[in-house]
Amino acid sequence: MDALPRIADRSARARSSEFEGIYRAHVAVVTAFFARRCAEPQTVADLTSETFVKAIDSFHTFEVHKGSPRAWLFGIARHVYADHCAAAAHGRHATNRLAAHLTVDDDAIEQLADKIDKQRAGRRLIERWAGLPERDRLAIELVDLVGLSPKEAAAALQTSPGALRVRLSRARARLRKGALKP
Amino acid sequence: MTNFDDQLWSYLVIEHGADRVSAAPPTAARRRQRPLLASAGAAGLAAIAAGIVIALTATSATPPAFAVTNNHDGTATVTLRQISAIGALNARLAALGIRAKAVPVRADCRAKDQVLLGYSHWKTSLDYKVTVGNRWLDPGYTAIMAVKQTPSGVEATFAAVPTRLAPDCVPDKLLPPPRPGS
Repeated sequence: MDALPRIADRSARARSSEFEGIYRAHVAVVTAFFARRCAEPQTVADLTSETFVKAIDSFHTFEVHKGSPRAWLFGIARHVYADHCAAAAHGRHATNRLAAHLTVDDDAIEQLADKIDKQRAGRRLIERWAGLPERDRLAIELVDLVGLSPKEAAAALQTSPGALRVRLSRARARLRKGALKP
Repeated sequence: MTNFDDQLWSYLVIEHGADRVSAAPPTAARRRQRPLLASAGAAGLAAIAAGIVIALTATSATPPAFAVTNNHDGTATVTLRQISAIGALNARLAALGIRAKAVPVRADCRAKDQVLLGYSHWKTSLDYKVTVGNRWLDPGYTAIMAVKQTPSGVEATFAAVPTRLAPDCVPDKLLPPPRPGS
């Protein structure tokens, strides 16, 4: 991987193409991440939009040899969702905080509603995992639901791969025991 | 991509420069800027009557053909630098639910003359920018922006016309002459 040229050294055009490629490859999984957490299509649209706006602003810091684009985006997405929850907890309307409020048409809202519906099973699983610590819950979601490798999930959660494997193993063991069944 | 994915990508390109990400941190010029509204004077008042406010801002080094900023108050700020982008601009305005439409000025246009009476403001600018919003329009009316590409930039003329009579083009002969110094 070290033989790869640093992204920072590539031309602006190549960087732009690279960003669009990352967007197209990952917008569906990022949208699904929020669709498992939110029932409102407009909220899913706004949070997905916010994630990619932050990705644009921090793309200059992203280097492919330090982590996969997927891990990088999920790292941003979890912060966006945490901010959203904090705003809701403080009684602020989340969309007032968002810098990326997106106006979409009825067709897009319908598509998002469909996506939310399709994530019903994943949402139920997350609800069942409510007894797990948040980072354990995210670890098992990113690896077992989203399909990230433990190394990618560790990058998204800003922890070491070893620590993530411990969290994963512990969470799976608790789930196997049925201790978290409703 | 789905419709939502397309709409989000367009938004990211138009308002956040997703097609211009670079190795450098985003600059103030690339970030979205709030326009300074300059609505004083007869010309400004006339433009408001057409559902439009002229706005002046600094420009970025590599501007896109057009940009639409959703101001979240029912208005949008439109920047048009290449009239070849009219189609995309109109689609964006329609998605925002704003009754405004850009149309080309053509010598061979056969739009009905009576529809086009009352054009009230003429502006020539290298960085043509206006704010449009339904709040400044009577019900059943649409703001028409008749635009023409010139070597020095985009020339534009505004009017509010009944939506059902909104033309697809404007004949060159109907436009008033440019004001001195404009």
